[in-house]
Amino acid sequence: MAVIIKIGKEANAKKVRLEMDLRKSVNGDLMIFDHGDIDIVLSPSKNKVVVFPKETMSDLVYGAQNRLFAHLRKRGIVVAESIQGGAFYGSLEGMLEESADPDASAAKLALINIHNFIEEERPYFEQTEAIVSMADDELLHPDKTHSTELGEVPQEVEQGSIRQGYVRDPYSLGYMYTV
Amino acid sequence: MKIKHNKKRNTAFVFESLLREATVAIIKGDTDKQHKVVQIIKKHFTADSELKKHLECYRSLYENQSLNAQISEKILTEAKMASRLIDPHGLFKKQTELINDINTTLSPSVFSNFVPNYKTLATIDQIFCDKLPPKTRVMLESTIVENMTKNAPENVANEEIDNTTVSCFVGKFNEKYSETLSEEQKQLLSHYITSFTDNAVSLKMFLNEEIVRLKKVITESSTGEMFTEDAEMKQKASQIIEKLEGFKKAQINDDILLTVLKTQELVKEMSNGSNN
Repeated sequence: MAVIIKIGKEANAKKVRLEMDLRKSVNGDLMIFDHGDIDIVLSPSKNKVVVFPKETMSDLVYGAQNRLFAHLRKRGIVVAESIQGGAFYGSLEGMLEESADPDASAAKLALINIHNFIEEERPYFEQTEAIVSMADDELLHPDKTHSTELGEVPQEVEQGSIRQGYVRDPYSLGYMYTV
Repeated sequence: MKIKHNKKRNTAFVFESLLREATVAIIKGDTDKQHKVVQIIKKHFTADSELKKHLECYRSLYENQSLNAQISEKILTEAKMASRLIDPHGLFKKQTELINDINTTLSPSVFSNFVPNYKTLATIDQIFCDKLPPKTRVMLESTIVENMTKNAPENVANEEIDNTTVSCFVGKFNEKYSETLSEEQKQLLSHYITSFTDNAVSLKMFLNEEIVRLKKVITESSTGEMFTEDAEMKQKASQIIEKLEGFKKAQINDDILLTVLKTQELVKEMSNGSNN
């Protein structure tokens, strides 16, 4: 059996493998769609991270944006004072820190940390999606206790709380108060 | 009298639903499900089975067969006769087994599959049913005959557009708009056109940068001599900046795009004016 021996600086290099729903735009920006509430754009050329709401802006979306930037700030990936609202609807942006180590790219480190953040949050937003989907299912495919057979529902002899011919039905009382 | 149509007992509907289930499984690459559906079809629709005979009765009455009325009526009579010759108890039993197999092996959602000719299948099912009053039966039969005589709709295939046509179109477009549209306007339009592919994220990103640029240029220009001398122009410039600021709170729509396009044009004119 052939034995491969790696010598030099690359020998101990660890490979990082990330699985994400990600798309690279023509200008090199990385658009990350994994999160349930927000779309994240990592722009290595502009050295910044911008976060947009997936649909409409809400407290839930702002919470996710805030948590992402807190996560990146705590790990020294973004400049704390650069975090601000963007010019477009519901966007929040922050500048990446300059990397002191020429071998460690700030954008790559940001990508790894964004991946970690999404993995931390995944149980929460997947649970929300599951609840929404369950609510839809309950409406569209109700169980036997919450539905009737399709087709003609047999007529009951007596329906509702008003009984015909009963002395206290609304019409009899009406006669009582007739002047 | 309205007869209730039970689609689970409609042999042709169940067969078509199974075919659609198999097609979806093949497209998705779900070989396990595909195998299960094929096994059910092979098991229940064998050549000499009651279900297969019943299915053939339905199939002979499908729409768009381009037949004349006389032949269609003959086929209808024969199909009715053939369906009456099938043992109803045996057929009911086989249908129950098929429904049970689908529910247990696959899922009851198979019966919710969309079948385009569902209406025709339901009509045929009612014709095969003996409970229908004569008038309704004749009306339904005439509908079926009418459908059978129709021609199959022609597949209007989109004409293939070759590279020469595309390059000619692009050339003409560029010729017309290359001078009227600025580089930024072209970028905005191209992001807008392709925005359906990525939840409009690249468009949002572009606008996020572009609005900042536009605000910066207008703010810088408004401190110039021309603006300080003319109070109305200064007021208009501040109104534009206010409008651009308002995009923080507004969802992306055509009005916003139009405003940005117009502002880009204005900024272009302003920078040209300052150069001249």
